[in-house]
Amino acid sequence: MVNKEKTRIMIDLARYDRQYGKRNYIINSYFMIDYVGRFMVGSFVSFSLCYVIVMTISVMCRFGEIMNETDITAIIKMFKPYGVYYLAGLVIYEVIVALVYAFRYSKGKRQIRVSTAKLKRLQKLQ
Amino acid sequence: MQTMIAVKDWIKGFYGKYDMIIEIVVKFAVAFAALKLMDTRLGFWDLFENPFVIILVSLFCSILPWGLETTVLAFCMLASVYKQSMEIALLLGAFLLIIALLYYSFHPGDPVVLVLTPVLLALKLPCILPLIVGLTGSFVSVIPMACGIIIYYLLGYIKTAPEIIALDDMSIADIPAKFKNVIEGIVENKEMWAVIAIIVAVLLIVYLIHLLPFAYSWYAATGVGTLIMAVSGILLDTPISVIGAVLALIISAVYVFFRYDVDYKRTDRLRFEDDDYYYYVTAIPRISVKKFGGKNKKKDEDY
Repeated sequence: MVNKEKTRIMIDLARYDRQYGKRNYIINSYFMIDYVGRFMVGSFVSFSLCYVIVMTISVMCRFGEIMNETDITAIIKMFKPYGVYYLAGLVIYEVIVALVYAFRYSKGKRQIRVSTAKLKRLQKLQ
Repeated sequence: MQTMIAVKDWIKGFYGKYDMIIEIVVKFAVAFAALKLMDTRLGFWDLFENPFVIILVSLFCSILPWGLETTVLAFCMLASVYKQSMEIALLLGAFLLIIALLYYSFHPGDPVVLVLTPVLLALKLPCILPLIVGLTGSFVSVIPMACGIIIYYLLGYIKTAPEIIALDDMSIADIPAKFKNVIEGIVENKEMWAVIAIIVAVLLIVYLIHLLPFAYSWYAATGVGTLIMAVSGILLDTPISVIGAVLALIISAVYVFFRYDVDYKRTDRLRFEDDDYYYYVTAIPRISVKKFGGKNKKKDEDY
């Protein structure tokens, strides 16, 4: 006869494995700081690349202005705010990324605990 | 009501049985609508004038995952824009790359929102998406939605301002001016910012209201969202019409009916306690009909 509870646990575990198994397997092999740090490095590269794109477009738009300027210090002064914007944007973006991945890590860990408890329960039923 | 619930259960069963085919059909329809929009809104690439090509590309898109389908459609759009102006294609490509790097690198779940937003705007039905995404998605979906609106207006700008974009007698020295003109043309588009503000506000309001713990909160969220959209759409002079808002309300109400199957009339408010806590629990049963035309089955009747 089919054991209803056993079947239900097995369905839950199979569903968990399909939806979150792969992601949570990675989460389980990292400490939180390493997991978050890994994505922060990636987001640093992404943000910097995006900023280079924005800067290139901005330089193209101000090309005439730059060419007309003969003093190099004036050109440096012209681009000084861009450095500040980059740092400010980077800090905000990194904070968002850190928060998102810290949340995902905690959620993943919680899901792992629940699935482990279900596995133990399944073991007891056998 | 009984019949409606029965129909709902039948449709749910039908979807469960043929979900793969339905998903392929939906993906085909989205890709087809997006490519048709590119053709009508841009119409620079002769290749897309041939319906056979559109059908072929849509068929290819229908077997891809949503993320890849969006990428294929983005490349089609870039190719179409490139036919008219290389500089604008570069600008659009940079914009898409920024979205992909900053947003989709860590929230890859909703690329379809980016495709559907311009499509629904072209169909004069932009109200549907903030209501449905607000009810089911997450509030960060405002980002692809806002980007979709920008893409829609950028495509429209290319069509309406060809004298700024396609100046063949321009020299290389004039390219910066061309970039500046397009960026200013987009940034200074008040209608675009108004649509973004309305859609973002509606999505956030719908999202927050549907989370509130009161009866019929999902329906209230759709109602409030529609009202805000219709009123602000008229006041700010945007393409959001009252008819469009009402149509969106009907579609959202149908969606809520299918998705949110609870019977508030049989709500149970329980109170119990253990050594550490008092528990105040509100239990709202789901409603369903087991067979088409059958009796309303109470799920808690076993207890």
